[in-house]
Amino acid sequence: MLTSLMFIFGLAFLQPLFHPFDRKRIGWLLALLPLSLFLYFYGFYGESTSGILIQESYEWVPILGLRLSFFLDHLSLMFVLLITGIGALILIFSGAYLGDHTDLSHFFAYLLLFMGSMLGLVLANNLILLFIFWELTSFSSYLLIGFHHERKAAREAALQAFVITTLGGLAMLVGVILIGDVVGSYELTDILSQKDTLLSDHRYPLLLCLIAFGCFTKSAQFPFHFWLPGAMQAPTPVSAYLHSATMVNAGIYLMVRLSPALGSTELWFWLLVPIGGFTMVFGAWTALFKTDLKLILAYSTISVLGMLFFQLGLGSGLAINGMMLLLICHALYKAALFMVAGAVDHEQGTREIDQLKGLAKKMPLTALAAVLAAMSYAGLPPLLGFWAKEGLYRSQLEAGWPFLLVGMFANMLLFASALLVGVYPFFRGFRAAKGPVKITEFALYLGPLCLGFLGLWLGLAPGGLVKYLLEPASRFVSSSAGSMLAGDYHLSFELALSLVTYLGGFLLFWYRAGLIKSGRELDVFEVVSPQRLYQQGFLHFKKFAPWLTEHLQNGYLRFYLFVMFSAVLVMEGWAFMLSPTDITLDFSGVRYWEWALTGLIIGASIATLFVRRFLFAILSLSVVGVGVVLIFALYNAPDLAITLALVEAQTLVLLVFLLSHLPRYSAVSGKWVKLRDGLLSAAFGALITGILLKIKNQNLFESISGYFTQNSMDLAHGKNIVNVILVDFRGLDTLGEITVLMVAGIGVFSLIKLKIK
Amino acid sequence: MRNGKILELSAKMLIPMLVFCSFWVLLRGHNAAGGGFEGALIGSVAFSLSLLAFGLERTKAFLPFDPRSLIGIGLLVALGSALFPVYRGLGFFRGLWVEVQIPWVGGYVLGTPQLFDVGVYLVVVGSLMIIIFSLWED
Repeated sequence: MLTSLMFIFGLAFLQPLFHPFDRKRIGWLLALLPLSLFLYFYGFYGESTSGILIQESYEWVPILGLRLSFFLDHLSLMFVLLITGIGALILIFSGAYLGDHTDLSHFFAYLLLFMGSMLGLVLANNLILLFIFWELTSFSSYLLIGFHHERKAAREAALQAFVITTLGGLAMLVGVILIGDVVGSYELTDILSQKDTLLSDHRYPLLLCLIAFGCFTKSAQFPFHFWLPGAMQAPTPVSAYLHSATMVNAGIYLMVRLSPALGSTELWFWLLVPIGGFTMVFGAWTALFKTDLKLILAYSTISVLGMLFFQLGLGSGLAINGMMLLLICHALYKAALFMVAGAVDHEQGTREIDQLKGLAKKMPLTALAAVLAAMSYAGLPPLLGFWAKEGLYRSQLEAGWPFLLVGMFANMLLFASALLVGVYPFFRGFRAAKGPVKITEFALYLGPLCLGFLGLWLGLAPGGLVKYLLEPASRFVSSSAGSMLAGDYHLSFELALSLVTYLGGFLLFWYRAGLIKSGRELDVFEVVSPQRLYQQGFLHFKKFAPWLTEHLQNGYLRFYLFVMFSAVLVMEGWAFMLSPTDITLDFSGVRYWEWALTGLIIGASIATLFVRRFLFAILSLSVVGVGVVLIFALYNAPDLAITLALVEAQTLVLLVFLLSHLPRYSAVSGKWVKLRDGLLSAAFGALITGILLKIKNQNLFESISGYFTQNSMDLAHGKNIVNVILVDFRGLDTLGEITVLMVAGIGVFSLIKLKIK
Repeated sequence: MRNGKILELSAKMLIPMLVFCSFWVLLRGHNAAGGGFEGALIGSVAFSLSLLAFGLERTKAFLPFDPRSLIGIGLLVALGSALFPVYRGLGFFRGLWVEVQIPWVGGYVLGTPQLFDVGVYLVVVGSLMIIIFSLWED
C-alpha cells in the first residue's frame, strides 16, 4: 500500500518529463497508473466478506507514536476503488478538457498529489498519519481550485476552501490527540477496540465535537458548506473528482471509520442528525434555484452529504445499509454529471441551463450519459440510485415518521434538480435543434458514459457489490446491518413512497419558475449567510493584521525593549511572588575588593545615564563590561572572562567605527517617559536580583556540573569542561548558535549593502 | 585615510602575534581556557587592527580569501564533523578520537569535537569580518 502511494506521488513529480512526447494523449498515459492500482485493489474484491484484507506497518517517528501503518478492509476498499477508478477516468477527461492549457503539467501534478493524499487518507491506520494526508488533501485541493490563478475569483475560492477546511483540520488534530491520550495509541485498530474506554472518559464529548467539526468542514455541512459551491472555480474535472470520490468524502469516511468507537450515543445522534438533516434539505432546496449546471450539482452534493451524515447519525443497521448504497451511487452519478457539465461547457461555451437547448441532438452520447446518471440521481428504477433511496426510506420508516418526512422532502427536491440537470438542457426544444455540428471528443464522453452504464449495471445486478463490498462495510459500522434487499422487486410500502416522491419532485420542477419568484423574498437572509459572515470576518481580519503589526513593530528599539521588559516583569514577577522560597541577605563574607568592583560597575552604569556625548557613553559602558569581566575572572570562570573581554574590546572598536555615522546625541524621551523607563529598569533589575537570590536558596534540580566534571575527561578527552560542553556534550546547540551567527552576519551585510531604509 | 607611523608599525608587529595567538587559543581550548569562539574573537581583533592601521583596501588586498566563504566552509566543517560518525554507523555528533604522536610534543588526542571547534572558529571569524567590513565600507 505504501508502494502504491509512492507510485502516485512519484508520478506526480515525474510526469512533466512525459509531456514533450505526446501532449495530446498525456491524460491516457497517466490514467494507466490509477487504472492498474484499481485492478490491483480490485483483486481483493470478492475474496472474503469480513475482516482486514491486508495490513502493513513501518516505523517513522516511534517516539511520537507515529507509524507508517496502513490497512485495507471493505470500507477502505470501497473508497479506494472509487478514488482510483474515477481518478483514471478523470485523468483521461482532463487531458481532453484542458488539452491546450500551458500549465497542463502543473495541473496533473496537483491532481496526482490530490489522488495520492486521498488514497493515503483512506488507507492509513495511524490517526496522525491520517491527519497528515487529510491536510495534504486540503493543500492540494487549494492548488487545484486556484488553478486558474490569473482569476481573482479562483484565488479567493481556493483560499476560502483552504481556510475553512484547515480550520476544521486543526480542531480535528486536537480531537485526534485527545483520542490518542485516552486510548494510549494512535493506531485505528487499537482505537476501534477501545469503545468503552472512550465513551466513559470525561473528555468524550469534547473530542467527538472536535472530530465532528473537522469532518463537517471537510464534507461541507451547514454552516461550513459555502466553500464547496465556491470551489466550482476549479476546472470541471477537479470538481467532478472533488464532489464524487475525494475531498468531501474524507469527512464522511472518517466519521464512518470512527463510528464503531465513538458512535451510537445521544451526543452522536444529536450532532449528526440535526446538522445532516438541515443540510440535506437546505442544499437540495438551494440547488433548485440555481441556473448554472455546476452550481446545481454543487448544492445537490451538499444535500447528499447531509443525507449521509443524517443516516450515520441514525446509526441503525438499516440506516447504514442505505448510507453505503447512497455513497457509492452518488459518487458514480455525480462524477458523471460533472463531466457532462464540463463537456457541455467545453463544446457549447456556457453552463447556464436557460441558454442550453436541445443538446440531445447536438451531443447524443453525452446526453445518454447524462440521462443515465440523472436517473440514478433521481432514484428511478432500475438504477443503483433507486436501491439507495429504497434503503433510505426503509431505515427512516423504522426510525420514525418525522425522519421519513424530512428524507422524502429532500429526495423530492433532488428529483426536481435531477430533471433540471439531466433532462431540461438536453430535451428542451429538441425538435428545433440541429444535429451534431462537430463530434464531441471521445475522451469527453467516455468517463460519463462508463459511470452512467456502471450505475445501470449495478442497479440491475447489485448482488456482488452488495455481498462483497457494501454489506461487509456496513457490518464494520453496525453489527446489526443485515442484508440490503437490493435488486429484489416487490410491492412494498417504500415503493409507494418512491412514487409519491417522483410526483412531488415533478411538481416542484414544473412550478420552479413560480417558486423562484416567491423565493426572492428569502434573499434578505443573504445578509446573515455564513458565506457573508466569513467574507466580512476575513476582510476585517485583513485590516486588523497590518494595524497590529504597525503598532507592535513600529521600528523603535526602545519600544521593543519596553514591551519585552514589561512582559518579563509581569510574568516572572507573578511567578516570583507565588514562589514560597525565602530570600536571605548575608553580606558577611564579602571582601573589600568585591565591594569596590560592585561600586565601580554601579557607578559606571549610573554615569552612562548622565553623560552628554556618545563617546563618553560608550566608554562608561565599557567600564561596566570590564567590571563584569573581572568578576568572572575572580570567580574561576576564565573562559567566560576571556570571551567577554574580547567581545567588549570588539564592541568598543565597532562603536568607535560608527561614531561618525551616529546622529547628534540628543534626548529622545520626555521627562515622564524617562521616569517610566527608569522605574521599569529598576524594577526589572530588582526582580532579576531577587530571582537569583531565591535560586540560591532553592535546589529544584541536582546540579548537572557534577556529571560534566566526572565525564569530561573519560568521554570527551578534554580537561576544559566549558569547551567540552560547547563542542561535545552540547554540540548541537553550538551548531545552532553558529548558524544564527551566520544569519546575523548576512543580515548586517545585506542591510548595509542594499541600503534598506 | 592617513594613519600615524606608530600605529602602522605596531600593527605590523602585533597582527602576526594576534593571529598566532588566535590559533593557539583555538587549539589549546580543549584542555585549557580557550576554544574556537575565543580564538575567533582574537582573530577578528587582528582584522580590526589592520583596518584601523591600513584601511579597507589594503586589508582586503592582503587577505587571500573572501570572508563570506569562510562562513560556508566553517559551517560545512562543523556539520561534517557531526555527520562523520553517522557515516561510520554511529550517532549524530558522536565524538570519534584518535591518538597521534607528534615529534617533540608527545602524544596528543585528536577528535571530531576539535574539528567541530575549527568549524565554529571559521564561522565566527567570517561573520565578524563581514560585519566589520560592511560597517567600515559604509
